[in-house]
Amino acid sequence: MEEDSTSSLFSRRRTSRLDVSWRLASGGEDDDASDSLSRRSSGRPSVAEAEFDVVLRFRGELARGTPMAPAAVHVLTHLIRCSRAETVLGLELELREASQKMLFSTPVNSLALRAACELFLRHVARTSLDVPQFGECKKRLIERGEQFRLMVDTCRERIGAHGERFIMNGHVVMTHGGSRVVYAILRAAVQRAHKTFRVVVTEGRSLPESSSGSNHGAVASMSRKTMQFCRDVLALGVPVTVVPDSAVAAMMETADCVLLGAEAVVESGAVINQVGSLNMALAAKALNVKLFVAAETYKFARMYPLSQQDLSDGSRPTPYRQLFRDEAAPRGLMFETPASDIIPPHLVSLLFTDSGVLTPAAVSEELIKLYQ
Amino acid sequence: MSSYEERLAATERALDGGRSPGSPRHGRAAAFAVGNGRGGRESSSKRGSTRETPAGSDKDTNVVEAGRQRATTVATRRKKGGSTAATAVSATASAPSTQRLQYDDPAAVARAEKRVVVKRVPAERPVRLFSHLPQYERLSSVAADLGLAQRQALHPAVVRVGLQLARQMITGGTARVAAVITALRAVVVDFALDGADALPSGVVRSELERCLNRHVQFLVDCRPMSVAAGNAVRLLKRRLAALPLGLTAEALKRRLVAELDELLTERVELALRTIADAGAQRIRDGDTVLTYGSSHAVECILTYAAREPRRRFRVVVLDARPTYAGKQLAERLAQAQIESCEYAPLNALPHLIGDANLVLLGAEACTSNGAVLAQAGTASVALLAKRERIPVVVACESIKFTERTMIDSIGFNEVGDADDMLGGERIGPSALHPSWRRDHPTLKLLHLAHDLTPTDMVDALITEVGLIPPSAVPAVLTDLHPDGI
Repeated sequence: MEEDSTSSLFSRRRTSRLDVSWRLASGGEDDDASDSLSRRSSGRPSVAEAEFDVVLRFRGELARGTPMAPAAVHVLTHLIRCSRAETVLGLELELREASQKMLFSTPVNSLALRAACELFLRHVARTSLDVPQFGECKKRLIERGEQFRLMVDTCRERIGAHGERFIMNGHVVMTHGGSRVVYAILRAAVQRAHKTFRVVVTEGRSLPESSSGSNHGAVASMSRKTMQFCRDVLALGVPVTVVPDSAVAAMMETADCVLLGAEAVVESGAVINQVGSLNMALAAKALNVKLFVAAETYKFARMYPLSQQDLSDGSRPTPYRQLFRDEAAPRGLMFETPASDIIPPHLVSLLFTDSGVLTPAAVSEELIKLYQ
Repeated sequence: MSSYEERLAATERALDGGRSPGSPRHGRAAAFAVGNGRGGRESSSKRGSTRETPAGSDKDTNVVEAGRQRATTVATRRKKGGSTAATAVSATASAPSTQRLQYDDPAAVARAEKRVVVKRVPAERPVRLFSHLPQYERLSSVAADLGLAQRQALHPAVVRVGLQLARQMITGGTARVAAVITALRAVVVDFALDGADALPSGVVRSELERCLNRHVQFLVDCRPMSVAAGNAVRLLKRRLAALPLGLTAEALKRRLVAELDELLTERVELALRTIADAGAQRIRDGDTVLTYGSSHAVECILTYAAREPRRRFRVVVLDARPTYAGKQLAERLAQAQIESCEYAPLNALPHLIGDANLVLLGAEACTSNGAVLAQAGTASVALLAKRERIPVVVACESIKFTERTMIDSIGFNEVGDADDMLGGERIGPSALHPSWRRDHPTLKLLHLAHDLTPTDMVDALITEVGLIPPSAVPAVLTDLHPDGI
């Protein structure tokens, strides 16, 4: 089969006798529907727009260090508060529009953000059925939004309390991606249980840092997020070692457990996380090292990717010379990396969530309860 | 979804031999005489037995009295049981067939024989390992017993469906459950009792239940109930028992018919539509979908996907002896304007599996441990797909979910007609001769209907609640039926 060098490796299918133009898989299944919706609604001036700028407020929340999904919920709750819509349908339309705006405002396709928006809209629809009176319904929604805010604030502490028990004295904990939840667990282990252990962190290099930013081409050895993570863990008094991503399998021998964060946890119990997590999971499985994943329940997403391909975020190969500003590199050399990968459920030992320690199989049960 | 109706109509025409193509299926036939003083009420004097005995009109008053007494005991039990009827229901409704009859236990079989409406001839040469499953000779015996069925005052719709099931004219879990529900609906609609208005409603209700039991038993005699049909019958009985006391006969019938209609539309028709929608989204332009046998849900998914604009995909239908069910699917897909549809024997699987990027399978049942019971051969397809790292997705309505746990295809299965194994399309010189029983005294033929695909070979189930992992079957079951099915 002839390969176009500019087409992604992920778009390559198994040989098929049908000659069709391959559709580049984009984000998710419901993309077409939401795209058309946003296109339709973008022409119409929004009522709430006069009140405040959704994207601006969203960015403000993010700047304060709020994770993406809760930030979106806060913005949506606030939108309900100052919305002038008089029917549930109008409100829903405004909320949908706002969530689209937030989704487009982020540079990466955040699954947790998408899941949170979807869940929020679902919740609105359900409340409107339970409470037919609009004013009452609105009040209830705002209340629930506030409750969610409180819940999210304590989320990481609770996960820390659950997960801390699995770290033993003298353990070597390997991690990847510099997740804030993982940090919460490590902190709980140190501060609550006074355990002593070591942490091994991978560089977590997938793309040249901020390829769209100002220092274009400068190849940082470690992502900023990972560096911050290392700094925080060191501040706890825990020894930290950094290993290159390529050394994951070799270093796995020394590890006692692997602790990862998640971008999203999907219905099958599979975990979507920063690229490189799958390598770690496979190495852990091969060497019989336990793999734990820490995730807040709002990261549970109602989606079901069957393969890495289903997740493909439209990553395109970029000329290596251009990306790395490396004149020595041969012309025609391409560079490609997806932003995240999927860890299939059979590689995950346990999930630490704010509603308890779950097996991957229990995720769909939680989701069914959530979306009921 | 009307295509199952069409199929039903087609089989009906075949049954009628073209004599009366447009004959109404649920029409009330003159011969139908439920509760006309015989049959129904008579059997109430002998609990559990529905065998025909000479009618005694002098018994009638006693019988009614006995029925009344039974009704009152049920009522008191219900009052004692507490607030809801559900507690009492579990005592009455869960009694039939929670545990499957083991056919290698002569005492149990003898006990079950008493219930049987149509007696069938046991297989002359049963296969040893499967002797706990019913094994019968060819179904001509059912037709021979038809006279008996008529004397037992069975509803023509049920007789018809029973025969269609027995002769394999209605196959596939979805079609079977739909046919059973439609037939039982006709029974309820035409249920009549002499002087029903004068009788206490408890008596009417127990008579109706007895009448339904008899018809269900006839259907079971014709062909063991599929998991879905068994679930539907259990739900029907549960709902009948949960109806409020003190309804008139007409109201009772009306409520029950509404329940049956709801069961059919929500759990079968709407479920199929949702499955088709969800499944069609998973099929992308340029995909090659491989399927095996004939599943109605899979057909719905593929036809829905074909309707999407800018979505061309290739379908490979695999098929195997002895039923060749996939042939019909291939034909219907070709009619549905799917551009590239191929039909191949199961033997071609190792070659064709490499082309596929989705394996879409149907199911007879999904067990609570996540295993999938489906047409024999499905497990081999899933196994090979797993080996080639191709996602295996099973389309299955939630009515096919069962609380049972299965670990192999032996404990729960269906043994088909041994003679089906003889030929296929063409009986060549190498094929077994129909006189194999005489020619080869020690030979046994095993026609196993289903096999079990273990849970780790299935990547996802497409159900009306969305895509779920097979491990979520018990979660969905408790969600749909909080107090058991």
